Amino acid sequence: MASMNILAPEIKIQWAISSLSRMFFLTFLSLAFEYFFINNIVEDWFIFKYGLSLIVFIILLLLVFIVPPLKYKYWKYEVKSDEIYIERGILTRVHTTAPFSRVQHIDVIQSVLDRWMGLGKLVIYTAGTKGADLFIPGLPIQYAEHLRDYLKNYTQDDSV
Amino acid sequence: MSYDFELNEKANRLSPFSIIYQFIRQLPSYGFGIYLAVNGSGENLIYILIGLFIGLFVIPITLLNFYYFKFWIDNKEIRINSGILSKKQRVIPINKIQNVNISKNFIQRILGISKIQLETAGDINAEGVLDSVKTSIAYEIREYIKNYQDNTIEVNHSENTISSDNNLIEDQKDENVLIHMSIKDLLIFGVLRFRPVLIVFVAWIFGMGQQFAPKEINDSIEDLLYNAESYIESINYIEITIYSVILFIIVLLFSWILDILLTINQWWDFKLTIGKNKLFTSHGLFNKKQGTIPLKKLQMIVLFSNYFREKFGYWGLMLETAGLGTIDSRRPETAIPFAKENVVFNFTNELINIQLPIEFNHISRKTIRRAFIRYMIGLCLIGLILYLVDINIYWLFLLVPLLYYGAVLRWQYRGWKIQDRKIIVKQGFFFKKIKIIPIIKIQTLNIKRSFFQRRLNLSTLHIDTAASSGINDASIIDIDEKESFELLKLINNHIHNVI
Repeated sequence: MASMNILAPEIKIQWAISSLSRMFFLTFLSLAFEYFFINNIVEDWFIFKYGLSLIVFIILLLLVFIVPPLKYKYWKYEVKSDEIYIERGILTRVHTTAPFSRVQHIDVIQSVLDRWMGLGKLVIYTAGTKGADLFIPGLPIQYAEHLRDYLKNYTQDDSV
Repeated sequence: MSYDFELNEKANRLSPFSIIYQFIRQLPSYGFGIYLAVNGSGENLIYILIGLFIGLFVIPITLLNFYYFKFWIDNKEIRINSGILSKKQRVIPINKIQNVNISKNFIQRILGISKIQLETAGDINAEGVLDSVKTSIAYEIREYIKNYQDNTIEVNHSENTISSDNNLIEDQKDENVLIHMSIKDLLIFGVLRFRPVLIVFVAWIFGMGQQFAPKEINDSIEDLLYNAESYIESINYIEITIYSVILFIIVLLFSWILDILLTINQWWDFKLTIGKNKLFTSHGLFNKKQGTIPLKKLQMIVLFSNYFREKFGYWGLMLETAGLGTIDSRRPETAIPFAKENVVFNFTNELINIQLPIEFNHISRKTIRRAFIRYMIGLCLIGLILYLVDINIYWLFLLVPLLYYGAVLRWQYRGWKIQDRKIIVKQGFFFKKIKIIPIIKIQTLNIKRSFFQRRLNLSTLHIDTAASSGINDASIIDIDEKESFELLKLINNHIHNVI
């Protein structure tokens, strides 16, 4: 759809940083696993010493470069006249709609990186229970706050 | 009326005592470190390090958290700002607040402070928490919120909060009884339940025994085997087979009888009573249980049955209501555990005025293929395990046509229909469920298409309501992609037309 909005491109850096930190964490975990468990207890491991950690490292490093651009490409949102529509997902595509009248309250959340880049994350709470909290990351902070104030006018008294 | 807290533009802070409280509350988390330091090698360095850690991190963080936590109250909303590095702003409209919980534990009572929880109908994580303010101010804030709500909306919300349970007994008069389960129905209910109670029970007893007296149990089993060794050696295969089959049947029989007794105990004298905008349930022989179902908060009706019960014409009915935040209410209320089909369907009709349609829209036929492949993968995994432990697996091939039949049945049973501003979804095939959702109760709609679904142009439509249990999610799995987007549009149009 042509009219769909995309996120601010800086969000890709944030996603890359978070997957980078996940990469370090998991590599470290598998290193510890191999150091403490494999080389002491299991005699013939299917791969050379620290090979598993190397594989984990390489795969996750590739994902750092592959995932953020793809995620960015498929992340779209649209604030229509009476509902919010979000489309996202690389392998599993998710399309979510929430009518304005179902909005309970709205948060703007800024992480440290967000503040550094002047971005904000809009979190829209509905009364629903499963996957009910819609969020739009990577919005310029002024726009996020504007959207929050705009949507606030539409919240209804009793939507349950 | 004047309040001790600041209104409108002026910011409020938590009570300064909350710093002390937070500090005491965090004690256990670094108590472990202190424990290590005390019981460690006794080097002074560790003490210094822990002291530095507490001094450098824990105390400043507690102080900064207090410093950055501010809240504003005006006649429309409560705004809460928090966070040291990542800031968080929360806005809770006052008319959305369902319940104001004030609680204080032992330490808070000594310090004269209380925790306020502002519960909305939304997610449990989405509520406002003020931890902690001076107790007198806490009561004033509650008063203020209540006053404001009473003045603006016609007492719509206060009914949900406290007053309801007082007239619980009054409302349960005999003339208001809608459904009373007869002893005959109760017995049939128990007979048709088929839960493996005894196996679970024995496993539980055995597990408890293992916990408390592992040695004695192992010794007695060894003794038994040792004494019976010569006897075990003397019997042949046929005898063993016969004995185990008999034992199996006896276990099943006992399990069945035990299940009937348990059912009688649980659902004895089941009564469903109607009061003002509420349903009341009461049941139980030794433990009498009572439940209240607020009909105003009704989100979803779930009719349930299983293959055997349906064959005998019996169904049950659960009601999903929007939670008021307490953990206890976060499960579906069983309005009718077990009753004749027409009783359940008539009750549904009276409750929300709907006749169940005879014809439902089918989901895509391609789902048979997907389900069959999934069952086959499961079968292959079982086969692999059996193969690895050297068990003959050729008989597994007999299951293949059965699995295909299962996949077809699954497709046949499932379906959906929009009727009278309600969406009806049929799920399951052994455990059958019919879910009825009034379209105005829908909160969000989700279309999910996994990688494999996209290859077949299929999608799954999730319908989300404010039902608090989260056990019953209504989703239409594997419908045609085009159909799902049309349905999404159709339902959204319905929602907007109502408003």
